[in-house]
Amino acid sequence: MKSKMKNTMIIAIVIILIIGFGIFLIKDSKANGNGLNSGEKVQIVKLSVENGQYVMNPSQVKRGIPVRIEADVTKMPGCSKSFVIPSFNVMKVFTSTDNTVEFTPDKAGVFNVMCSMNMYKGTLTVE
Amino acid sequence: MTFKEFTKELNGSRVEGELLKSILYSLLVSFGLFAILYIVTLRYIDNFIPKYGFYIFFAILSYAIIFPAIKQIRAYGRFACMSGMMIGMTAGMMSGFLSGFFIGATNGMFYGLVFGMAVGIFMGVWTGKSCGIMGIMEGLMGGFMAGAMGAMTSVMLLNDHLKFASVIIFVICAVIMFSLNYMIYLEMKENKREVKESHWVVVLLSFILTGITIWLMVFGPRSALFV
Repeated sequence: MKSKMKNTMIIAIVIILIIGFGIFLIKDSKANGNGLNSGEKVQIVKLSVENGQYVMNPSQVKRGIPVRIEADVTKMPGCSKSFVIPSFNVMKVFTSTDNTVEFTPDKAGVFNVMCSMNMYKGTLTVE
Repeated sequence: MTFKEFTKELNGSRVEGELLKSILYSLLVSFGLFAILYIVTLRYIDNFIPKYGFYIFFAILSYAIIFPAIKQIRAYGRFACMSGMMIGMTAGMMSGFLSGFFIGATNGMFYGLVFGMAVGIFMGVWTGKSCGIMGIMEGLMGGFMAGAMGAMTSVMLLNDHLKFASVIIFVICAVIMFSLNYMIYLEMKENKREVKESHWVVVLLSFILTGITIWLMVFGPRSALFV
């Protein structure tokens, strides 16, 4: 009887610990890409895949001006639809009905773009 | 009937009666270590909770469901070949898969794979040696395969409901580990406990692995995808 009560107490403490730390630790993660306000000036970049590489047209954009990437999903096989630019926290899975992602590059340089499996690669230059 | 007996033994005087306590000690040590690290350094990191909180939480829970089995295995000492092989494979695969999965989700495939394989092989061999070379081989293979699989799975799921998948995978692994506890009880219920020890193994393993996991996730090297 005593040991049963002891175990009930242990289970109760375990549940309290899990719920307590769970509430603290599980919060919403960051949004995928930054949305833009309508009416803002945007740089449009067309995205497709050729010879196993991402092709961005144009491949150079200006810093501080929002960029909208429009993907041609008919030319994007398999995991290339799962598009990532780590430096700008852009992660997006393109579909035929949702084929754009928007963000504002806030630093200059040459940045790697890739699929989430790191198989399809490419670069985006920010001036 | 035997399962009923097993649940009764969770309150009993055999080693099964200490399994719940082991889970509690593992959680206390891991969450305690996390709380200290959070107060001292982690809270100053931008976006720490949204970025790492979920994975650290489930990594800690994963260790808490794996380590009690080690205490149970050590208590009985020697096992028959079939049981030992199953023990080595289950412990190696579950620990390798889960640790590889969570590190893969934050650091990329390579680092998840290396960490998952290291943890999986270590746990698999350690537990599998309870029956000799057969168990050691199973532990080696299980840890090696599951470490790679865990990291690969999480990277493949990055943009496709990774967090939901983490919960599903964790629940399945918890059921498997509980089944392993039950299997060991079934196999050994006629035998006497050979080693009586305190919870130091669970405490030490929880402390070391939680510390390494948090350090790797937050400060460790990462693949290009996560830079």
